[in-house]
Amino acid sequence: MMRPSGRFPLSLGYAGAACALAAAILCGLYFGDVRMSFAEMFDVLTLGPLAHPGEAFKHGVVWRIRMPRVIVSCISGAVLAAGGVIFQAVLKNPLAEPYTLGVSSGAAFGASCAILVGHGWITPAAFLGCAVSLAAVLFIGWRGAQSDLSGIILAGVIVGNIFGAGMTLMKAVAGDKVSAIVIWLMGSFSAAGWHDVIPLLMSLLVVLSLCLIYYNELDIFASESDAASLGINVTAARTILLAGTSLAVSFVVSRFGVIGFVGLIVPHFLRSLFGPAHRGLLMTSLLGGAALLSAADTAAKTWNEMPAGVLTVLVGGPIFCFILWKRK
Amino acid sequence: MEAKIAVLSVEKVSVDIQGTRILHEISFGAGTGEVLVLLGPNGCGKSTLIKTILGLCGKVSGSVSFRGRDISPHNRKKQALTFAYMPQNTASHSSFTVLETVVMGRYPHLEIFGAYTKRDFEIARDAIIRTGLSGFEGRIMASLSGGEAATVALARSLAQDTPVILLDEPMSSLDPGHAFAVADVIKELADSGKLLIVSMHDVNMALNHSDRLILLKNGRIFGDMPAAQADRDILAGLYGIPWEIWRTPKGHIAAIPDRD
Repeated sequence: MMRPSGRFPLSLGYAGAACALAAAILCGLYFGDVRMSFAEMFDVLTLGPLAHPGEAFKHGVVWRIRMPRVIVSCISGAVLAAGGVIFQAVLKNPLAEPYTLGVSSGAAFGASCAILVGHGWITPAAFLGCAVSLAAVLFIGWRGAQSDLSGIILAGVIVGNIFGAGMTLMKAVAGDKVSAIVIWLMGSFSAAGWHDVIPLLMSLLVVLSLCLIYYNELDIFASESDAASLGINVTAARTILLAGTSLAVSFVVSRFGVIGFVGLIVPHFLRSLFGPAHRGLLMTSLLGGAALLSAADTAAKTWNEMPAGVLTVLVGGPIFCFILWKRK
Repeated sequence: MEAKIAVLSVEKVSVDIQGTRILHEISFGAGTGEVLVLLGPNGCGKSTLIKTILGLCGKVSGSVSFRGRDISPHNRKKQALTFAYMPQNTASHSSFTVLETVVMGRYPHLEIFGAYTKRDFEIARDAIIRTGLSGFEGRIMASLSGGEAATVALARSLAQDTPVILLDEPMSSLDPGHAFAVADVIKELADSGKLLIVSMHDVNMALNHSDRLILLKNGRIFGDMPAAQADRDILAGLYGIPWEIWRTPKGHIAAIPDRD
């Protein structure tokens, strides 16, 4: 296919994103409070997770603490970035991100309630908040004209604001627990462990399936073509894509808090380099999102265990502004 | 040219939109190799009729059948393999290229999980050449003029390769030269056996480049006739203003509103 000027070959995108991901994983395993050389790290890695070596401490640091954290941040980044691509195409809105249907506000409200009550069920409560907000947005948004995307975006904004107000109320009455709510809201992987990997793999599987099944439909949605006349059951496809992606993102948000900008900056950056075709954009975004969030988490953890969500916004915001400024 | 065989039948179709009746018991049939032009004033129901045939507008009563079988609006893929559609609004701000956009017309032909094949890209390139867009393959859609974007939409309809093509005001944003080029493409498609249903506002184009006119007024059929039979009284009745019609030395029909 003829390549327009300004676009780089997709193979370069795959190679670049894969290299970035490999580098981010290695940095994530190398950097941390316990110092070790690269040689020591590779020695520990080659022993495998089930070995009981003499240097048990460093083996434990790499395999029990750093490795699950790296895997979890990679999967979360992949889900958020690919989710951003899907939302921007389905809603035909470059500002859409995986939280557009209000799942972040729902999760924040649920988590705030759990922190306030103090029973420790933060993740289930946050997930319940996600599910309730998603159901409310789909019910309200699809009730009117089903071809009207503004309905679902408005429903997302309204439901998000209602849950946001509820969360502010929780913070107002939280007393000394308000700091726990604020820290949760910032988003962090500091508590990640192997037990988080399976639920996150499920969410990755959902997003990956949507990517592989619907990449042609996403092209048609994003190209502003009349999707129904090309044979797409528009309402069904939109509902599956939005609900599936939101649910997958809910796994990430409910466990690790609101991590912003990954779903915006990765798709926009890669689209500007390699074009809008979703077959390549989704796959490079999965890799690029994984690399970005893993790198952000490594930087955050070496910087006094700062929440990764703060770093993604602090770094991502200016980069996103630069991409917008460069766009002709 | 192939003999015309009746393929499309629209029977007593009525359509309501938000409680207002837009089409009243519309009935007509159309055959292969025919260029059927829908003509009428703004708001007469041309676009609604096209969308109803496509199954994009829910009808209150009546039926649309192709080769004797009802077209179910629920089987979108089958519809897309029967009808190609060029909408009225074709402006695009997308960053896809012209070739990427045109090949999307091949979507109904894809197998499940399938990707566009070399053959699909060949068909798309052929559609681009036929519509006079050679050299535009790598251009970004957002960089095109309104007329160029409309021509890309036409090329995508061609790439869809269906027996029926519905075009909603395909020439409204084109200069006379490009409008004639599109008229030639329409004739070429009809000569290859396809049925073309085209809505228009340009009376001269309609009179000179169609086999048959369906005149719509206030959601009802005002007339259904060969283009050559449309006279100034019919046009005056349709638009509510006087018309003058004459033939040029080369046999073309020229019609202009002739108000005092």
